[in-house]
Amino acid sequence: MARCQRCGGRLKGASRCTLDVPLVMALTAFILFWPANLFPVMTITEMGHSRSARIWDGVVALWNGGLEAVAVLTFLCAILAPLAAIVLLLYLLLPWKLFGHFPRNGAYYLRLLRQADHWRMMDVYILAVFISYTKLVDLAQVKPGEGLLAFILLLICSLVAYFSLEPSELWEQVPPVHSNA
Amino acid sequence: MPESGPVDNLLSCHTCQLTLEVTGPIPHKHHICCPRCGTTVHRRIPGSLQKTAALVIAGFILFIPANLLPVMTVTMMGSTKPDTIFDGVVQLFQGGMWGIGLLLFTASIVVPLMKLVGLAFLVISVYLKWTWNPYERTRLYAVISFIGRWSMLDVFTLSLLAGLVQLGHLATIVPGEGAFAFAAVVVITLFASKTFDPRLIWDVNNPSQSTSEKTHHA
Repeated sequence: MARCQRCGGRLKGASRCTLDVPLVMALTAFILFWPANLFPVMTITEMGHSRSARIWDGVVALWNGGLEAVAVLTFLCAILAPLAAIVLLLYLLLPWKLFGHFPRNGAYYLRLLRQADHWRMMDVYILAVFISYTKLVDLAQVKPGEGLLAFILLLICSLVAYFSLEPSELWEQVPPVHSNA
Repeated sequence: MPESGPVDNLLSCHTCQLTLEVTGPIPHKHHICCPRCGTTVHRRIPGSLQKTAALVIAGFILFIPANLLPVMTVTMMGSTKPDTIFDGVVQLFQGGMWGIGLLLFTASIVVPLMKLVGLAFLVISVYLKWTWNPYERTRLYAVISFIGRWSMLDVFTLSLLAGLVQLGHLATIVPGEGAFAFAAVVVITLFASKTFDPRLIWDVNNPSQSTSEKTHHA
């Protein structure tokens, strides 16, 4: 692994595995994204009344509570950025697998992927689910929802896809911006 | 500390790490785009110290309402109780859940405060041209950039609680204005750590390649 002489920061690592691993993980994550978001992550029962909440319901609750900006931020970090990262990775890697070359302007999409990475916070969200659970346990009967398992698997797939990619290797292969390759 | 030679003719892209060879000066308003990924490339982020300082000050100001205003209002059996972030931590402690309480305390109070203090320290150290331990200061910057996102923990918890406990017979949880200030602190510190250019820390020790003004053309 190449490191910066001065600060020791990581510059370039050895190739970790073929691009097949991130591609498979991104495909799996793309499938898991839907159950994770369409099914509730948690269900509470109080006095015979049940209520389930998906990630989206939390966003709506913040919006209705007058915190529109916070709702948008939650939507961005928990739903949009993870989806964008998966889609961008698929957009880059599927043509590579099927046609043997990266898409035109690939570097632009790789740059977008790096930006989406900053806002991906599914790992933080999982911990928030855990904390909400402990806070509600005394108040009502709490059960993890069907979406939670899908969400955990989605997180694992995204993390494996992320860590199996060596960015510098991909940067060297994708066509530069404004290219017609 | 290994001393690097003069690298005035080389420039590295922030996004894709492509190394660009540059010769000759460029006009002030002209900028270079990375030929590979299109990112605007600078020798140093323009106005890095000013931008980071402004964001850190804004963060400190917002940190006060973030901790004093309620992040949520819990209505339970007819009685209404506003909860600040700290109240949420105390409740976990009182319930005997020390580990989780400590986790929430770290993510919601220690991390944002540490980020603000840390970035303020870095900005001041660069502004006053300290030569003290640039390696450790760079490490501090790396830690600050890495942990910032975990402060979103409280926002996500609130979103889930508000989504679940609604118009129930037992309780209702309504998000409060404190959450807006808190989320603003998190986002502002995220941007503050992005606008800070860690290369500035090293410029004092290596005067041959200092200041953002000294730019060259590709």
